[in-house]
Amino acid sequence: MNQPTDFEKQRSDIRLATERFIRRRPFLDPILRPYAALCIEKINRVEALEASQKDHRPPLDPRRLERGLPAVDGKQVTALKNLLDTCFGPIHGVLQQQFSPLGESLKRLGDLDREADLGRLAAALLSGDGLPLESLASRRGADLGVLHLLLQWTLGPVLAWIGAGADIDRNNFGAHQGTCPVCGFLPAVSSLSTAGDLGSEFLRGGGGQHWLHCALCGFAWRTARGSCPACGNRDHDRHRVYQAEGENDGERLDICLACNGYLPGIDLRESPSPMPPLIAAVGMIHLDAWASENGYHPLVQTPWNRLQ
Amino acid sequence: MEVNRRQFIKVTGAGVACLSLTQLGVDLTPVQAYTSSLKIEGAKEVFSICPFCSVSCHIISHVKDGKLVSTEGDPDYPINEGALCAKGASMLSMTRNEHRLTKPLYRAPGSTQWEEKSWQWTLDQIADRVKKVRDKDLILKNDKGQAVNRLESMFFIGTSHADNEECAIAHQLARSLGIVHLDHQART
Repeated sequence: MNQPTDFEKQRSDIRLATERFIRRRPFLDPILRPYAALCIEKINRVEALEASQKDHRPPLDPRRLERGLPAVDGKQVTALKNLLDTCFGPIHGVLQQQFSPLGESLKRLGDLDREADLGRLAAALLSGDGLPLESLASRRGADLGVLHLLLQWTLGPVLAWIGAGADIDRNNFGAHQGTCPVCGFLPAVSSLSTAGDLGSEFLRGGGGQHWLHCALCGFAWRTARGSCPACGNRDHDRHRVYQAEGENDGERLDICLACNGYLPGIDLRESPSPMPPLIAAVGMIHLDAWASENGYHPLVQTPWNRLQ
Repeated sequence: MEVNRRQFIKVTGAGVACLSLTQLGVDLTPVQAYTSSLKIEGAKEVFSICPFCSVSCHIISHVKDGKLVSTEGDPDYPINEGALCAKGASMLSMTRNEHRLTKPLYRAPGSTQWEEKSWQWTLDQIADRVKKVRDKDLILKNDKGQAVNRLESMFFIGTSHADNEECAIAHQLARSLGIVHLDHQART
């Protein structure tokens, strides 16, 4: 996994992977470029937080993790108002620039950092309390989906910055931990890692460790192969891996037959490098389309995997 | 806010208002055309154990339509952590190698041709010849009059693709016949 603070490399990797996907599948151009711009702005925000707030990172309560709860709780999110305010403007700007059909709703929500309490709204989003968000969207005459998108991408960089500095052993967090240790969201994509030093010239293969990548904050944590993050199913007879025949560059879909959920994944041993998994998730949108046609649902709905 | 796993799944699942690609202004026709041009197939990942030695590295076997299509080391098993030795890594060839013999072949003395034979004929031949040699050469006692039941005129060699259990059975068979000269590719 990349070092969370290697910002320039993260941006460069996103650009390279985006161009490679578009060369290979030109139809991705209008989908992947705006998404990549959003991802890059998220990294910019994390970098800005790191530069300005490095010594003021909110402490996390390790007892929450021990109890199986995400490290960041609602109280903390509410207290992050000032940080959310700094992220809101730039994220709102990129959304407005990249997604013109959302322009009207975005315009009506453009002053939330001044006129509303982003901390409380983010806490409502994180806890699934839909009422304040529905009420706000209704009052402003804005699309509720746009409000969700705006809040998720505003909260994402703050949580990513907190997660990058958190004392969490992401490699040994829990073999069957399906939700993000930082924010509790489900993963948007998984990756199988490349091989490290095997320690002997007589060994072959290696790698293949299963990492999940949070749909909200992007935090990556390792879990066991063949375990469904959503329903916890560990029955290998009810787990399938689907791939497109031919050149698939390690692209795969893990499908749980117990809950009918699917998670796109990228086997980094077979994919061109660099390949940021969250870019790969959108780059293999054809697998989302196939899964949707065949009655499976994504673990987390995002605008980039909702094709109906 | 104490939020459990179930609540989070609810938050992030299908119940939440979520935009679609169409609402982002994307025309999905090319995506659907590309998808329909692909052949997308599923495989099962079966967790198993490498049969070749007593280290017992764990492997993940990929099975499609009941057939083994690939294998890899299990990255979550603490002994091999996803790696395999050269022999374990080529395990697929044990069942899928197109050069693997599936029927007995016999080359008569002096002949340059291999003939395909039935299992029954082959097993009868082996049994007859083993018995003949053993009846003739079995050494019951050594110079000191001690019982040894030793057969020195026969050599027993195992294939490199014999697994742990096959090797154990072959070893017992050879020992029961009194064979003392036996070897196997994996002895080192």
